[in-house]
Amino acid sequence: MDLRKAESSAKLSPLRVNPNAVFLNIPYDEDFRPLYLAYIVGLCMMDMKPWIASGVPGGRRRLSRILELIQRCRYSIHDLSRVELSPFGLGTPRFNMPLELGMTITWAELKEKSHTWFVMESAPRRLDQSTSDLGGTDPNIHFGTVEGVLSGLRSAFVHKSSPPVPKMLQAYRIVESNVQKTLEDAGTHDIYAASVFKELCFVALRASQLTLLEENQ
Amino acid sequence: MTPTIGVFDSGFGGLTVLKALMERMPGARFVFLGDTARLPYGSKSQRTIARYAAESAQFLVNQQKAEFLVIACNTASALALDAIDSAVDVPVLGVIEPGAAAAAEHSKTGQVMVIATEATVQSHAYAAACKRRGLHGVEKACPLLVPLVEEGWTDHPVTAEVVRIYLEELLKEARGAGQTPDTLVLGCTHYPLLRGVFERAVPEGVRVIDSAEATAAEAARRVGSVPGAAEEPRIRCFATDSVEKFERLGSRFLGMPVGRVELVDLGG
Repeated sequence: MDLRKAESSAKLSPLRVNPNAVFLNIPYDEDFRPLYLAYIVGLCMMDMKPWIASGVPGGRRRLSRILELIQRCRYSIHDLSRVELSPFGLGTPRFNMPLELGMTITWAELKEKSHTWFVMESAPRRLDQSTSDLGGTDPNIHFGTVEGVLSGLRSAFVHKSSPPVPKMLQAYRIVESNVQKTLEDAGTHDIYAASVFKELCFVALRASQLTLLEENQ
Repeated sequence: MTPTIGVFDSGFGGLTVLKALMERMPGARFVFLGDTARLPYGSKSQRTIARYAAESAQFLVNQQKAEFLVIACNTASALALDAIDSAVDVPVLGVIEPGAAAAAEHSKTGQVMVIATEATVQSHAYAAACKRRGLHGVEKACPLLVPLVEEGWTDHPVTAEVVRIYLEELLKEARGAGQTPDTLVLGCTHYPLLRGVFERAVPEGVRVIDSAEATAAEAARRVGSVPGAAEEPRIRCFATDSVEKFERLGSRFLGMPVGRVELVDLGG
């Protein structure tokens, strides 16, 4: 039976900005998995709600889903680590992240003060060459490390209360140790699948709660 | 720092699942919603059930801040789990998969009997979940049991006789198909109150699986350790109608007073 209409009627509430939601514009590749987990854990520990494009239900075109996410999220993070030539296939760089950053900047310019975006990079000073029009933007450099991502998140959301990086790392390790089981439960190897992302966010939230509780005791 | 777990049912039978959850996670915070205004789901179309269930789930997640959702309703689990999962951004657990998984764990013959309401049986959700685990499931609708439970006749000779007849018919059907089932799954959230009746009525060697208990065990595994186990469980109950009936009958299902039930309007 076709449930699409029922599903869409249930989920299409008016576009409201979630003040704690963060759209993660990141590469979905195997090597990025640790940093993907770091983003989820770091944001959950700062009481923020991460979102990725695959986490949005519905069969609409991907760009439409992304545009809706940008509008719903108060913040976005654009990781431009993959501007280098890919070692696989035709060796092309990934343009998705800059494209979605462009969409976000347009939205943020149109809706002044309703959206704040941050750029993350793995290499210092590369942004000046790859995307020189972003001159004046200070990216947070994570050097391709989990600690770098967690530290970068603290810098980006400096106005939010955030635990120290070692505490975040503690929660990160809990989540990391649950990844295999989460994938098995979901019956997939794809860590970026919507169901896995949702479950990882919950595990991160629980890890965050338990880690911070331990700190307070 | 304690997790908030949302529990949803079309009525209040799901309180048996809440009871099992509270036993497994006494330190957690629970928010229960019974969509009593739109009861029974079993007579509605799949599309309507999906819409009702998604709206209820959104209430628990968006307004009550549930971080994990348990669908303590067999009909919604069978017919609307995907729609609920699409409507909220937290993990969702239905009652059917854990019930089938528990059956798979305990069955030696690989042949299982499932009793449920008419709508759940018609969906064949249990049979499909059993098949995915290499089991063969024979299902039977037992429409008289819900009214008997709600009447409070959980330990009554009439109920025992009704259970005996249903089981006799089910076993006859299974044996007629050349099967020797060794497991009986209680596929309705009202039935845990009749567990003792069933355990006395099944032939020797047949194990009774309570899907409410199996669901609570799976939820506890996924939620992980909940600190503050010594604390008094915290529950908040909402209903979309008939709060007095909910308060009156709810304690029977929960095994303790449900307290004040809050009325909520989810629309049409």
